[in-house]
Amino acid sequence: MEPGLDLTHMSLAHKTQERKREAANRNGGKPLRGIDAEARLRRMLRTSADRLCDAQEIAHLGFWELNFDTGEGSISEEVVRMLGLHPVRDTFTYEKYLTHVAPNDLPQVKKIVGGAFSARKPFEIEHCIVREKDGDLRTVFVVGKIIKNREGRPVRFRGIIQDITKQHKIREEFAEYAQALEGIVGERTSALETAATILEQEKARAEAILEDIGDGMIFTNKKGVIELANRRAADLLGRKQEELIGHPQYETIEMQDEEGIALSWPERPMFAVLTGGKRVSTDPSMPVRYYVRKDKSRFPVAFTNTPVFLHGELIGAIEVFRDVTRGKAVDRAKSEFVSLASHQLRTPLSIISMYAELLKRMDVTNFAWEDQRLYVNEIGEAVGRMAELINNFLNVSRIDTQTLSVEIEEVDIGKIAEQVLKELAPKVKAKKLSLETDYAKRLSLLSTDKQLIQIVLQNLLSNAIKYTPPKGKIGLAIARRPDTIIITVTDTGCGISEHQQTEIFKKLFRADNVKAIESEGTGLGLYIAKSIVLRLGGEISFESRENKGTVFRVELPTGEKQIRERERETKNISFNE
Amino acid sequence: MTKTPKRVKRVLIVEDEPSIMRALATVFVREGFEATTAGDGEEGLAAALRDRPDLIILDIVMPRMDGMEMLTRIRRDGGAWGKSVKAIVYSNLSYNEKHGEAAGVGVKDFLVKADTSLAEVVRIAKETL
Repeated sequence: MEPGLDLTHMSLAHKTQERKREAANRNGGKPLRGIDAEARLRRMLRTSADRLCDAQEIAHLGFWELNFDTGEGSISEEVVRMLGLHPVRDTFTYEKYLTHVAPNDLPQVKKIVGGAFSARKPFEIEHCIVREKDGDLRTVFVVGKIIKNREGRPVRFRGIIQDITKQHKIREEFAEYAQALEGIVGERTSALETAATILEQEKARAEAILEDIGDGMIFTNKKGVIELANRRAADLLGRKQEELIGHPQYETIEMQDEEGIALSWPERPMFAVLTGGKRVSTDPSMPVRYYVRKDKSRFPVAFTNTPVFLHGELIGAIEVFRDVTRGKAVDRAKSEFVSLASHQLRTPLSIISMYAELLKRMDVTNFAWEDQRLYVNEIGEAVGRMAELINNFLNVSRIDTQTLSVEIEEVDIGKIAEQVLKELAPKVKAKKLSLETDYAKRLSLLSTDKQLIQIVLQNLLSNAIKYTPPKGKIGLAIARRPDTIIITVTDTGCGISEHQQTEIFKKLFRADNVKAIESEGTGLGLYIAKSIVLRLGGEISFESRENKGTVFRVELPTGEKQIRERERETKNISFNE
Repeated sequence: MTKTPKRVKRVLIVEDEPSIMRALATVFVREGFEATTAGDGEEGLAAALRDRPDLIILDIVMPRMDGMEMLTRIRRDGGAWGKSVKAIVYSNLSYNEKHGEAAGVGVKDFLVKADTSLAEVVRIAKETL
């Protein structure tokens, strides 16, 4: 059965017009008085129909109907416009409609609309049509609905057809846009992925570096919570990395002052960095700070806390820190040494200043030549003492910095010994000490450093003189062996008490019994002597009994070659640990 | 008007550094004092108890017995004189190091060698007496 449309009845407005004309004809061209009400009704109906027509046009919405039995149907004016039909009088049928469908869409339309027609089922389809008037391609949306009669039998399709070309175009544009956008997003995503890979590599590298640096490193966010801590930081603090990360720095790592009092958060350097945004670093003017380990032991810490900014905003701070226990010990030793050195220098300085003052204030009319000579002598001696002290300090400094230079030459040790004894003679005489020497002249030649060996002899002999009571005995013996020379310095002095015998070569050490005899002394003499002997490739030892006396024994190699060999071996031996 | 001759003031110098001891003795004698000397705390204690000087100039760090110990004993063993004898520390130690301790044994003044000339020591000694 072929559906069809009666074009003459396609518009309601048109129909109304027709009826009006018919009625007028029946009454000889004049409207009938008896049917005024009907006329009014018709007017209303016409107005309503016109409005509907306008609405359809505005919405690009047309109506259609198709009778199942006759295969004929009707279409509204808007459909005529939509399809760009020339005014025709023929009946509109499904077949005719198909002639307007865009060739590409034809199979689909036949399948859906034809199928729905046969099955008497509602349908919806979107397809293109070619406008008859201008060949323009339009997109339409068609809906068909089943209308049943009183018996419930489907009698016709009624539906709408809407020109959705504009929407479709927008949709297409939107799709294109979406596709373009997808492309951009894709590009960006892959760029991001690349960046992420690079970042990951960078991160891995940075982490490897952080893990391996010798200092502890902690990153704390601006709330003071540890976000990163390297292995070294954990090791230094005696904790696991997990015990640090995610915890507030202030609570996890206790910082103390010298007295062991815990610093409050606002007192801590990290707080200053996080609030002030400026780097804080330990410097000598700052009080010493300690970090407390998990086991409650502590260590002096040196740190640098640097604020971290992201786009100008503070996001946290990095702390790099280390244990400076060893450095502090060295510092302490150094400052002790400096303090001792300046203390030692004060005495001769005071003496010089005092005798200069005495000379200055002497009564000019009183030519006390003898007094003047005495004062000048005092000054001279004090200057000598000062020079000796300074030499000692310099030697210690050279020993400690390993810059003690050795100049090997042929040396007659007997001659050097005589010279040293001559210098010390006044002191020997003053204490009425008896001096015994035992060495053969001309037999005591050896290759060594003249100045250094002189320092060794001076130190050992002056100690012997200093710590031997008046009328005691001191002795110097030099004996030659095939490859070595043995120097022995003996005294009948105070000796070294047994419990301090292991200490006497240590820098700054002074035995208790010695302090009671002489209040001043550097505690450097034996340290210097031992350092030099080792440097010359020799050995030093002693035997001592308290209040009986001491024997120092120095054994030195005679040959230059030997010295060089042994020097190399002992060069890096440190005995001040 | 009769002029009572001023008694010569006696000063005891306790100092283990002989050169300084001699310099101090010289300047005090020049200024009209009678000066005796001792080379350490033990000697100083003996000399003080024996001579009962008007003033003691003492060093702190000395062998055998240090200055503080010596002064403590003088205060304890020297009777009324020992409790009242005036003492001035003349030392290499800085004021801060031993000042508290020195004040505890009734030291009148604490002079640091490097900062105080002989003339100043004598002036302060005279003021103290």
